[in-house]
Amino acid sequence: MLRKQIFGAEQLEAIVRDFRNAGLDPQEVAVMEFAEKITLHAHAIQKKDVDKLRENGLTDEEILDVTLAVSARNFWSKTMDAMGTEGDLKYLDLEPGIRKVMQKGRPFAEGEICPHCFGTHIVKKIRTSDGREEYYCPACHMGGLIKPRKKYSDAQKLQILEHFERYNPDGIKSLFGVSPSTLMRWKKSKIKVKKSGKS
Amino acid sequence: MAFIHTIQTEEAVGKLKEIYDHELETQGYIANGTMTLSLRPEVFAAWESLLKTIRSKMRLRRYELVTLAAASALHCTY
Repeated sequence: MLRKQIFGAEQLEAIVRDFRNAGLDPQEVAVMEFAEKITLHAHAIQKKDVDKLRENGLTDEEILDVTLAVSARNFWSKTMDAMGTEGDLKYLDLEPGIRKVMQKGRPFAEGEICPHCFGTHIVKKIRTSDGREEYYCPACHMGGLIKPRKKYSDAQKLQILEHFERYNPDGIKSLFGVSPSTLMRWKKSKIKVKKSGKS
Repeated sequence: MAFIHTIQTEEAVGKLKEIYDHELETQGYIANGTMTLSLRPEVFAAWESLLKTIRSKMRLRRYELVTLAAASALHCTY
């Protein structure tokens, strides 16, 4: 892949992990910080952020180019995520380490990738007790549930429960992927928390 | 593949067929993202052209770095 040719596998992995400590020059770090800020909170960008790019040697044309490239990427990513587009198989050519740090959102197209070694040739088997799938990875000899139970923080639980009054349980399932029975369990435990708080 | 209907390679006609053929020729496969936009091939063509114009004055290394920073902040795998 192109990026691998420019940076080399090791540096690319370091950049994805933490671009501030990846051996990039200060100008590159400043540009990436700006790109990150546009993406996360463009409304908070101030003149001083742009001035910092100037101090790092960027012309106004270059600042505009960076901004356009970042906004374009945002347009593309938002569209792809909203339409459920999966990453292309070409990413699977990447070193496991890079793929591990790059794969932050949706899974790549193959779907089931070993979470231990990121090998792509895992074997599926059905668990009989509750029908959930388990896998076995011939590459690293590890195995486990294909979709492990997701853990929610208390804050997330409360946030989802807030919707309980407005939507029916099936609606919540499609919105958050939380099953009605899990929801009821939370609701009960939440009440318990409240009661113990009062006494 | 995607949440909306996408037009498969063999069903493509007109503008979309041109886009698909070009991708097959240049990269050997049709990217999932291209297929996502298959219902609006004009938008895809305009997008490609916009991106190409933006990139034209940028060094590849910088373009890749900012794209990486944006995608990473977006938690976007694609």
